[in-house]
Amino acid sequence: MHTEMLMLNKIAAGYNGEVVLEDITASFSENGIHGLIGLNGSGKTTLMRVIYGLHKVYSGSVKFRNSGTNGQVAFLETENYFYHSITGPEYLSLLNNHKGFDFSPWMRLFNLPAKGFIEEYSSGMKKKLALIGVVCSGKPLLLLDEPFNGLDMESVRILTQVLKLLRAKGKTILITSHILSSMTEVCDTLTIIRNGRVTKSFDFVDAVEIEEQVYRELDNQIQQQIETLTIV
Amino acid sequence: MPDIPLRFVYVRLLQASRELYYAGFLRGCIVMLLGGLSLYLFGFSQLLVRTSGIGVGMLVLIVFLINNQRGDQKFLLLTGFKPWKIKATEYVVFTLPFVVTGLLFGSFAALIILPAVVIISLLPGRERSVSGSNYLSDRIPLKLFEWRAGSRVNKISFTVCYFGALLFAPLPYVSLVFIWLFTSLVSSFYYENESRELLFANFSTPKQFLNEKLGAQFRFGTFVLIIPIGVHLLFKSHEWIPALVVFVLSVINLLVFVVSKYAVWKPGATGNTNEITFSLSSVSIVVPFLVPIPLFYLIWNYFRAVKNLNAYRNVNA
Repeated sequence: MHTEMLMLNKIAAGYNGEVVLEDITASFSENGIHGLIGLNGSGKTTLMRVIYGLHKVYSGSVKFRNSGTNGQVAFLETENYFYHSITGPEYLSLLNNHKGFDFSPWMRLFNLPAKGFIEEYSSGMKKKLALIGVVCSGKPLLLLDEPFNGLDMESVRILTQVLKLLRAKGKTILITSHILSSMTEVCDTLTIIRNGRVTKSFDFVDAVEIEEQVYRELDNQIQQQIETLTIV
Repeated sequence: MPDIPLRFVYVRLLQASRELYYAGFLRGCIVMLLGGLSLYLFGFSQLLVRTSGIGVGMLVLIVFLINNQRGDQKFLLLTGFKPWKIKATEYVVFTLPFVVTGLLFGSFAALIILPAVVIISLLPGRERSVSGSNYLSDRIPLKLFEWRAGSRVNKISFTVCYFGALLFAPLPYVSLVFIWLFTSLVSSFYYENESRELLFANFSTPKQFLNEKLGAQFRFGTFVLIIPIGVHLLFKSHEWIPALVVFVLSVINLLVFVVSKYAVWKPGATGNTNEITFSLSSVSIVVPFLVPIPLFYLIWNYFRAVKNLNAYRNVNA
């Protein structure tokens, strides 16, 4: 039986007084993969930053296993930073404070070179390296912001399988993506965020049905704006 | 400005003034800096008169090391000018005061500086190696990743400065100057900030993190510097006082680089917001009345670093 692991209670947050998240209330069960979808600027990344503790809330609270999120969360950001002139294995060795984690098979799986500096990696390779960094942290809650961005087809398939493995190993994963098909294949629930509010949540029933509902919801969001367009 | 190369000189001056402005409290130190610079010029001219060859050689070496560290070759190419022309203009303009001061004190050897810096400008700048393998760098503990990465990027300068200090140990004071250059070079290793993941991987509190980082830096810095100092003293034992001063101030400076980096740390940021701090700390080794500056920075920036790192922890905890 799934228990509510991550609870977001009436979260409001923003930038310089401008509200980006407004009254977000949601809960996510453990051992699950939960997708967040929404248009650009809808507040998905801000919500992840709030959960991770990078962004201060105006009001509301984030509870993880009935307590704060300190030391429990790993975050894969959209833009990944590393350090110049060090190799991938060196980077992972610096991160690897979780005993028993062997990153070599992960490097091989993702076809990452053992030699060569990180700045020589492609953007997809950097994304994969950052993902291994998140996994090796050993944290129970993983926030993955656009993990499929910049990945080739093979890597998308690998990542999909890896996400399922992580879920099987008891991780709770919150994920955003613009690639809906990737989300519906792997997610147990989907939550739509619009203008900083949760507008709809789906439990996994059927991928096709969810896709249809999500597209319908998105179409509704943009329909009014489409109608105001002038075409000459 | 009539010409692109001169515009670059103008931009460099603007960068320096902007940095001074953002340095905040440092505005109050500008007068002191100018005084120190004048004294430094005077001292340099005296060095030129007495030991012209060494003085000129050191200045040319400094320009060579600066050129070797430059990574803006592609940017310079965008101007449509030959990069060496821009670099030569910069080097000539900025070394001219030293040449003039040297000539005023009757040292005609200073004239060698100008053709030398023009030749240096023909050399390519920093070229990053495509290989992660580098014997010396790979021996540096991974925990000190700034050293490992920095010594890879500045392979030539790093090797020249360190082994220069060892090779020239029998000459008076030359080893100490090489150690000074070496420490100044190490400051450039602390311009780039690591990712948040890297920082927080082994982090419990800012104080614990900084203390561990400072401890590692102190141990490694002492180990690295004590070798050339020791070799130098084998040949020139009567120079033990300046050698001790250079050693102590160099170690303090290595600690200043760490706390200053984290005083302005932002995840993944690349910049040189600490350039003035590092320059003043480095210059303090050769300008006696600036000696308190690194000590001041060490303490002040330690507390700034604690405050800065606290801001990046869980803000909703």
